[in-house]
Amino acid sequence: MTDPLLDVRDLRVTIPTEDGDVHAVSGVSFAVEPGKVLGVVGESGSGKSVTMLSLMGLMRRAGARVTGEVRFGGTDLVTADDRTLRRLRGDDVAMIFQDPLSSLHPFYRVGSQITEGIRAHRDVSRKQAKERAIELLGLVGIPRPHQRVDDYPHEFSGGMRQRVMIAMALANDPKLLIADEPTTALDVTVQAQILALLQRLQAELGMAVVMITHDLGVVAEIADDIAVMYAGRIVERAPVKTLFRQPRHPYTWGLLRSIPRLDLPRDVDLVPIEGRPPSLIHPTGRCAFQPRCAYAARCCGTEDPALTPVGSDPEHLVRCDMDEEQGTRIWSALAAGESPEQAALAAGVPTTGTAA
Amino acid sequence: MTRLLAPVVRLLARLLAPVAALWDRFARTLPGRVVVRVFGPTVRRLVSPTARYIYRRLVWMVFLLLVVSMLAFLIFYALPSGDPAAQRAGKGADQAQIDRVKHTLFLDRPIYEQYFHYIKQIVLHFDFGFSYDTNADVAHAITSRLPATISLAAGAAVIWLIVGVLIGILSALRPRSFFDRLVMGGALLGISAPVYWLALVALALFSQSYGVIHLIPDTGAYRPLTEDPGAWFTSLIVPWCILALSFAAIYARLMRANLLEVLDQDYLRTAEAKGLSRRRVVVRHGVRSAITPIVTAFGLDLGILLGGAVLTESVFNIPGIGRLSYDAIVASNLPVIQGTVLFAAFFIIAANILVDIVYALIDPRVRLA
Amino acid sequence: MHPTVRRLSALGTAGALAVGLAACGGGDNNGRRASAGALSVAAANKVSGPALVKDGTYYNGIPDPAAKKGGALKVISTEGFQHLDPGTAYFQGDYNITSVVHRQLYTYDPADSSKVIPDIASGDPVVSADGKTVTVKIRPNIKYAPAVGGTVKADDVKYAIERGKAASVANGYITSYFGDVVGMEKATGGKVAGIETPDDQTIVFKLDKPSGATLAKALVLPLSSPIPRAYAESKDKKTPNPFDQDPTKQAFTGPYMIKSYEAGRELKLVRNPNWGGKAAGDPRPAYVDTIDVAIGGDSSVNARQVQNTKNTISIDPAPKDAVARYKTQSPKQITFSALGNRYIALNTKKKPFSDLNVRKAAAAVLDRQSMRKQRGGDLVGEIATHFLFPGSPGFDEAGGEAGTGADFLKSASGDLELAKSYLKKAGFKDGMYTGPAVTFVGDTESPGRETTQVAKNSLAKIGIKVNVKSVQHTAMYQKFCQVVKSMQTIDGCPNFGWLPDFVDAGPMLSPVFTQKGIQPTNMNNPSLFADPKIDAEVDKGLRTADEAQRNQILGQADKDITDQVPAIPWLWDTQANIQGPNVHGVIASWNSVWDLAYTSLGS
Ligand SMILES: Nc1ncnc2c1ncn2[C@@H]1O[C@H](COP(=O)(O)OP(=O)(O)OP(=O)(O)O)[C@@H](O)[C@H]1O
Ligand SMILES: [Mg+2]
Repeated sequence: MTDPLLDVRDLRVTIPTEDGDVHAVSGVSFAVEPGKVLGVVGESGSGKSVTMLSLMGLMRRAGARVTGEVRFGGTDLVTADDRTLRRLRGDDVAMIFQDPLSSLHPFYRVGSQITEGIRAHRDVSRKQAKERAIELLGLVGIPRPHQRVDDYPHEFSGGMRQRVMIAMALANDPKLLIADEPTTALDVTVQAQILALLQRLQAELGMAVVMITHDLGVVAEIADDIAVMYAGRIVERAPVKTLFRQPRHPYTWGLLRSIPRLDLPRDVDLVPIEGRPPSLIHPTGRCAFQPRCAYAARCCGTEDPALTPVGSDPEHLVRCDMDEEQGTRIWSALAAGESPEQAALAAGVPTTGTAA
Repeated sequence: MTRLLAPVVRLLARLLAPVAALWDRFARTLPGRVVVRVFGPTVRRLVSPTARYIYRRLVWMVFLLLVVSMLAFLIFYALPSGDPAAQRAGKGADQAQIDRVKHTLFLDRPIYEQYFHYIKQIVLHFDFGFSYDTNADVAHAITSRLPATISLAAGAAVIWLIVGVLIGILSALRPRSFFDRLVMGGALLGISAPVYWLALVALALFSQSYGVIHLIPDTGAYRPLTEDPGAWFTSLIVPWCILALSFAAIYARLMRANLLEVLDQDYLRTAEAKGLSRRRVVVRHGVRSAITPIVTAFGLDLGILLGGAVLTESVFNIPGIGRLSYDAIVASNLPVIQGTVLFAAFFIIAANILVDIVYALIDPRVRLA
Repeated sequence: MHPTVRRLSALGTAGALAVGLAACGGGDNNGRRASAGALSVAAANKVSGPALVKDGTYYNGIPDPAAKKGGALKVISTEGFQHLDPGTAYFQGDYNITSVVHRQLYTYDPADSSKVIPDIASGDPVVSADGKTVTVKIRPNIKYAPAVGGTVKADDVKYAIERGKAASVANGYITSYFGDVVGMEKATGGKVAGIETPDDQTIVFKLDKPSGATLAKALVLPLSSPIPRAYAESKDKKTPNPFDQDPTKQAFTGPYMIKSYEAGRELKLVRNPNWGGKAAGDPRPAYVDTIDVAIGGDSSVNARQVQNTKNTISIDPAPKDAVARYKTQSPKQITFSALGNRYIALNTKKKPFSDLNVRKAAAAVLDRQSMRKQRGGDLVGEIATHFLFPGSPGFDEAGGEAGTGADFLKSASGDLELAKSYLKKAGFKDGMYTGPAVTFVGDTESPGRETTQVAKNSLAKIGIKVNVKSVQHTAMYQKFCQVVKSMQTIDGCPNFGWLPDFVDAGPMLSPVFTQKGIQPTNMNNPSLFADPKIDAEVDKGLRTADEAQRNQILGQADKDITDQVPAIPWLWDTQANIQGPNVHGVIASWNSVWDLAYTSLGS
């Protein structure tokens, strides 16, 4: 195991709002090694974006309280001052956002939006910066980059705009690229192109990538490791193969069962499990997933389970008290296409614990 | 009065939109089919879409002004206000006398003839007729009062734009802070404080003759900028501030709301993620977007104010168009009403066009067509 | 807020307000109050003689023989002027100026405005025994200001009057007072045969009817301000009239001349070097060297500035708030003067007010006290008991302040029992009116709107339901109350009032309560009141040249009219005139406002 590029320990983010404090992230730890790809998966509101934004200090403006430790190249980003963070942003750590349509400034030419990022970190002339912008646009596969560099965002299609965003992120050869659901807002075919592009660039440039998505299928091919988030925590973390072969958390099971397939309409919503995510304002102190868990009767007590290794595998961590054998049995039933109720029955778990 | 006129003109413009479409088509062919056919491609290359747009809007403006003047004529004709001829002829005048006055005032002609005569005089001689009340030349009365109105409006506009936008930005950067609460509370007061009352208070505090401290000259001290810049400035500074106050308050609130909304936009997060300085993020990316609605409001407000600010002009005795038009309405003085309404409408429509053009310059997504 | 727009809120036909009356501008000297609690203007009006009269509290607007010459007077006029051509001028504000830049055939004795003295004329007018010829001799040594030059000749006066009929001049009173001159009716600005000038110093008016006595009185009006025919004739053909549009071109004969004028903004007067003063027969002192009039602004603000600014005077009536403040803070800077009357005109040709007893009932029940309160209380005037107002010739003869003795005008706040008794006489059992509702045409503006409401409430007490049709003040006059046809559906005009054109009882009564006042449009008798006996009486008065006799007859006519109740008089207005420190303003009592030719500055 090499030294991690990014090492996050017990990250907690609380956002004060008029209704009360939102505990958007409550104790997240993970690490990314140089050149590796981490996939972060979870349903909407599970805290993926907040986690990533707080890494770069971008949650500060919302008045969020961030605690824990975020080590990046020797500095702790949680306690770092604004200048240090600003120097990192867009340089060593770059970010791509969910919606390329709204993430580019509508009033400025894409070229100037890219060069602006370059000149914020590199002491280069306007001309040099522009040449670099053209080069980048070419790199991300935009045809006729010489001309397109002077176009405005609204003159690009959605997929092209995401390419522009990627070009912008790559401008300063980042060591770490955080891609926050880079394909969610795009057409299925375009999604595939962008993913392929990212995969190619990652391989060519050798940077580490954190890829956020609520679609496990998206990261299956590209990621080395996967972290599954639920209600502001990581509930399961494992190398991609392990996770697909031996998922341990009931929430992960749900996610795996609902990977959309290309033959289905794309906006079929992913509701892996019945029920709604818990309120992040008043945490119960119990297992946050318990109310939605079909197998809760078997595992959870009143305590919130800790993130513990599965068996002897130190790379596979799960936040569930269910015993291993029972888990394996339920998953194999589910993988065979049975419903959660049937699976529970097969494993001898009373379903009465399924609270709404 | 112009405050009332603005929505009317805007409504008119909207109601007449279908006509505008036809007119547009007509205007496009108006430069002559021959020319288009022969020189078409060259003309197209030489005349930018913006120029063509402006040309079309100008034609449209003339048309709107015609409609406005026609409406003013009709309203004056239809509503029971005084009979100008009888008013002019005096209380002891007999019918013959009134008839002769009617004749000289052109009032014995059918209304369309009066209207045609009126328009003809404007087009051919820039002659807007003369006041029923004082016999003063209307075009002269208006143009000679225009500098005062422009001085008042422009000075106030500079103040409210700078103050309003700055306060709005500072408030938006620290929402719910003490500063924010203080100035936004102040803004509410500023919006609701009546100009007349403010003016009286300011004069009672600072006026040369009866103020607590003798700081500003008495009302009526206005002199044209070209004549006496010092007197121009000292006589206008308080009217500017008072006129600007409510606008500044409105603009501060508008700017704050806009900027808060923009600061929440994804593209601002992008800018921040690029590692730009805070100032660059807020000013270049935030304010640039947040200011666009302000530009629209500013253009229209200024356009309306150029039609005259009745209260401020009256209290401080600034010889502007507002007071002229107010007096004219009270006295049923048609030529002056007509003249001031036309000028006010001109400014409002011109401001609209200008706003559209500026908007297109600011926002590349907007195309003039 | 609204700036006071006097030309509309004042009395008379909105468009044509001429003012002239006899109140020597006595102030509220010693706080004597009339029975109704009003300012005792009438008592103060009795001041006569040229002496400076100060009672220790108020200046009363009498010329100060010790006044100093020189200085620059600043005049504030919120409203500005309308027509400054003396042939067209027909407003109180305009008269302020025309009177000091022009001389007329006759003028008022500054000490006693009931007395007319020769101005351009060299002696009293001679009215022939048959009343059909008036002869006036003029002084030979009156010069025009340098721009025009030359001396005033009889033909200049003749032309000045003739041009009154030109469409571009359109004098507003020429028909009323000069209409009987031979050839005048048909004239349109050209020569009128009935005005003869046998030599350069003699003017003879020949009349079709014996109305010479009244014409002689009207020669104080600015229409007789001379202007050379040769100089003006071609210009007078233009529309708009150049002398009105640019008054600096006029032929000045007064102590001052107009140096510059910007309508609605400013007017500057300087001395006329060719004015001969006393040597040329003009008794006016013309103390100040220059008069700068600043036009516009807000009446309240202007009043405050005047109060604190040396050498400044206001020629607008002071607003209510200012009056109260001046009275307590600077009583020497405010002077009151009387100003016409206000009444509710009742349509005598239409049921129910065609019945004299119903009219008397309405008068009896009307709460005039409340009406005045709505208008501003005792500072705005006295509660009227007849039509001629305090200070007007004939006022005393008509009963003075006490009234004519008519019982239905005794109680200022209304007498319900008396009203009921009149209704019983009119045939209504129980003294309550049971007929259909009546219609009044009222004002949309304050205070006319509020006073109409009071009238409505008063009449409701005797069962007369009033429907008020509210229109703009100008429209009230020109579209309704001054149009005979409109009056067929209207029972009353509650916001009417009247000012005389010159100091005389005739113009207060003849146009408004006689057959003469009824014409299809632009008429001034909305009561449609024509009583042959009263018509004859007024006519007789108008033809009487002897002052005392004339006032006796017209005073009696006022009594007789009051008894017939064609209208219910409810207010005799007063105007508050204000001036700054260091100014000694003098009231032109015929105009009820400061006379700039008598006003002087202190050290
Ligand atoms: N600025 C903020 N103010 C208040 N609450 C916030 C803010 N940002 C995020 N949250 C809350 O924090 C929680 C986590 O949000 P986050 O955006 O991280 O979810 P996500 O996993 O990225 O979801 P999605 O898949 O929809 O992007 C949510 O409940 C959200 O409502
Ligand atoms: Mg997100």
